[in-house]
Amino acid sequence: MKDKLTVNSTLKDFSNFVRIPEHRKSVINQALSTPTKKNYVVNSNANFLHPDVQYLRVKEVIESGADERCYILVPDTAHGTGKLAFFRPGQYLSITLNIGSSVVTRPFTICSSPYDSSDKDFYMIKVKRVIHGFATNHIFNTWQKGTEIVASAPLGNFYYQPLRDYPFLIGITDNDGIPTFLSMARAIEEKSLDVNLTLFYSCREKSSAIFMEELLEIQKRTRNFKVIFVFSDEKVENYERGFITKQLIEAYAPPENYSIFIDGSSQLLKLISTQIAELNLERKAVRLNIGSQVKDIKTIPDFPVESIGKSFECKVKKDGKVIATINCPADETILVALERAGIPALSHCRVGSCGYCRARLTKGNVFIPNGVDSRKLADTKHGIIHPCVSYAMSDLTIQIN
Amino acid sequence: MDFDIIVIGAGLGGLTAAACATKEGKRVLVLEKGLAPGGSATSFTRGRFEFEASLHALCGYSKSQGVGDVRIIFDELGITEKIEWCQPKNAFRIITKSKNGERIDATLPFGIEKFINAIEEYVPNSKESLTKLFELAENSVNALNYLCSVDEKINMTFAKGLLKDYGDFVRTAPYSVNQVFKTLGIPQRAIEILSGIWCLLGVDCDRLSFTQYITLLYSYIQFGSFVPKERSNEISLALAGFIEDNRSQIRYNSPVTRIIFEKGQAKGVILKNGEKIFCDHIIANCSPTDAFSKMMKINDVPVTAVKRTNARSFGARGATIYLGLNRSASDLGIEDYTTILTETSDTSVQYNLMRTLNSNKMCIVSCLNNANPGCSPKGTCILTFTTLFTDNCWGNVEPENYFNEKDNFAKRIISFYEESTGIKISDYIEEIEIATPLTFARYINTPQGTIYGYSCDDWDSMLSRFMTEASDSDTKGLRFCGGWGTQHIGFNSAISSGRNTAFATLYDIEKSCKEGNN
Repeated sequence: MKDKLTVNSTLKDFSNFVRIPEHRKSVINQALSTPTKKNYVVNSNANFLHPDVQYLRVKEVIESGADERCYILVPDTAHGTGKLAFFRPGQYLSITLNIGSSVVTRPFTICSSPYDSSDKDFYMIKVKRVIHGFATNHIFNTWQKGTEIVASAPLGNFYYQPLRDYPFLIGITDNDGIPTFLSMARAIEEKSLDVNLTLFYSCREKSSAIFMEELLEIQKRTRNFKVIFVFSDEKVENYERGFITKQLIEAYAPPENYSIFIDGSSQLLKLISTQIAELNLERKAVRLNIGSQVKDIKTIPDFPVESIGKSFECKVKKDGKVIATINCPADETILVALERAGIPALSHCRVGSCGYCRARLTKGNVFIPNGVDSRKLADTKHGIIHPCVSYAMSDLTIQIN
Repeated sequence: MDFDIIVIGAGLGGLTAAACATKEGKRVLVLEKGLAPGGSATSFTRGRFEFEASLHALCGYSKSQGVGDVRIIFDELGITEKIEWCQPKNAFRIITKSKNGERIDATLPFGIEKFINAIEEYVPNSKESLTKLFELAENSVNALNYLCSVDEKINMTFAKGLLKDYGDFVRTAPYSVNQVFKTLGIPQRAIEILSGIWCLLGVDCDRLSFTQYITLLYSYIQFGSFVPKERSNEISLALAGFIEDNRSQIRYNSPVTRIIFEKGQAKGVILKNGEKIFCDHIIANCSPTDAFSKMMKINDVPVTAVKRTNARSFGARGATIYLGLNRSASDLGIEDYTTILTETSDTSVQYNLMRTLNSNKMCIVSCLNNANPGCSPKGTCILTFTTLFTDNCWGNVEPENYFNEKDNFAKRIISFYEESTGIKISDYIEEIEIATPLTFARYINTPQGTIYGYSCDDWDSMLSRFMTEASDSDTKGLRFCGGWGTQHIGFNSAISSGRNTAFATLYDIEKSCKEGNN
């Protein structure tokens, strides 16, 4: 027979075994009976850095250009937001707007600096009025000093990451993407961001450039920031004329490795992509902010032509119940259809990447344009969709959160 | 009442509990704070990469039907076929330093015989003691299975009965890993190699219960580990799908703020939006600490439960660095799936190094491509560094320094990896995400960002929890599952605890029906 294993002795080992429950009970019995501790710093700091919601107030409205306004937003202490969450230049706030019977969100990139929020308690955002724009007109018409705002925490992954990006950045932008780079320039000046940024700013003419004076001022004061205005429709002395090209970038690019950050309108992205490709940079060195929504889905080449002009019925389920049956035009995102129908639907980025609008499609087919489908592998297999970039192609049943 | 059972939290434990109860014909309502199922068992995308959040190895799953507790549960639920699996080639590689400063670098295969032979090559004359170790492992695992199958209180008479078939288990179960290693006469160098997996349980080998350690080692080496091809999100969605397609329900974005008790019996929950849902049977897949301190009124928490919670300390807090690299694993020379890197093979010293931010370099590195070759585009690979903190050091980081500290932490870990392996990776980072205990606190809402539940210190090991399980169930109508429950942490434990808790609750329901009839 094989030898028995003993650690101390047969008897002692056995009695120690029998005593295991007793031992545990006695340790527990010796513990304090004061109420269990509730709050932990890690959790409260996590909540502070990533609050579910931030209650803000408009402190100041600044006319920053033709149909352009900047809003200074401060914490609304009366609603419980004492301190603003920190952010990194390039991040946005998703702002909830109640317009008529609809609840909608819009993302706005923060254009102020990190220290403006941490030390001076404000965020600044820029709003451009879109002709017939649903949300921007609402903001222009209703936001004034004192208006209460409901915003998300700072969101998005489009920011400088020192372990990933080279410390020399080339920025490429136009009026749509300028908030990101204004925030970066301000951060460089205040030394909360340790990079060297050369910014190419594409505009039609000098008068349409926003923040021009301020950007030039920062350039004067900061060695690490340089701005190159490129005017397409006007010749201005001492400024570049035309478009941002490979040659132009190379003329200003440093000899060492650099990362390109691109944020702007879809036209800019279209124009710049071939130029960037010719630079032959590794993929990690080109970072693109997919910030703007597809304006007219029908213009997307892979949009199924047979669906143009069609409209479908969508059954909307929430918490196990059908809460509405709505109309979903094929050329409008399901998220917009939900908002139009007055259904409070979650959303943040509105370009398919954050996943906050996540819904389960239990019946029907949707169209998701190439390039904005950033769903996870298993999500795709299990019928999870992001309504902000999904278009009804048949009658649907969806389950929203 | 619309539902037979309410489950708080859609982590793997909660989902499994809900799925198993649903399978038994109950209507279950799962209430989840977040927007997706799975808790830690999820994934996220950055650029052209999809990163696994936390499940890097699933134990207890076997290729053959009816083998391994997870496999059995998935077969019962009929979801096995819905999940595609990959298998890493080797168990793990360990790189560390022995007490005298000598470098240890060992790569160990799956399969008990192969595993023993591989160690014998690194440490001659260890075979005999290792063979004894695995015999003891088998005895211990069989003993635990037997203990689970009987419905008897463990007292003197019962324990005596165990001696006949499970004597070695009985005589080693009260002791720590190191005490039993010593008894078995395992050579020092072999101990240093074997100890490496302590970090999967979060307590050093001087305090870690031998039985708990050996159960993990045995099931890992015997059955191998499995990796879901489309990340653990695939497991979570398969379970969620089963629940939702079978009359039960999951409500996301629905945090529970209060568990209602009446006369010592759970009666339902209140959601953040004020909605009340009544139900006599609640399974919580959250920490008892949160349930007792935040979700229950002080007077509703039994003194025994308060004391138990106060006696315990939190297990390891998690931090993970996710890298998408723009070179393939083979171009970089990364051959292994799992590499454990520690600064010293002395687990108590290592445990103490893991208390503070600057001194912790320990990491478990997974290169997903070496188990799941198509997981990232050609010419790229995914590398994940899981680190554990044995104290609350992230609580001392001022929020204004947080972003910088995160980057510094990642830099330290990455350079430790580069030094230890000689593989340069920092120039190839195309995507990076850094999760700290604050990240875990944000997403899974555990106190201090703990990912290992309560620390399984010797007095509170899995076995001792199991032996006192009855007295732990002191909140009538409310049971706990998942990493904070009896079975401690690990994804297979979470899954099997979900099933066990579901069945305990089904038994409660049956009992209360009988009482109601009488």
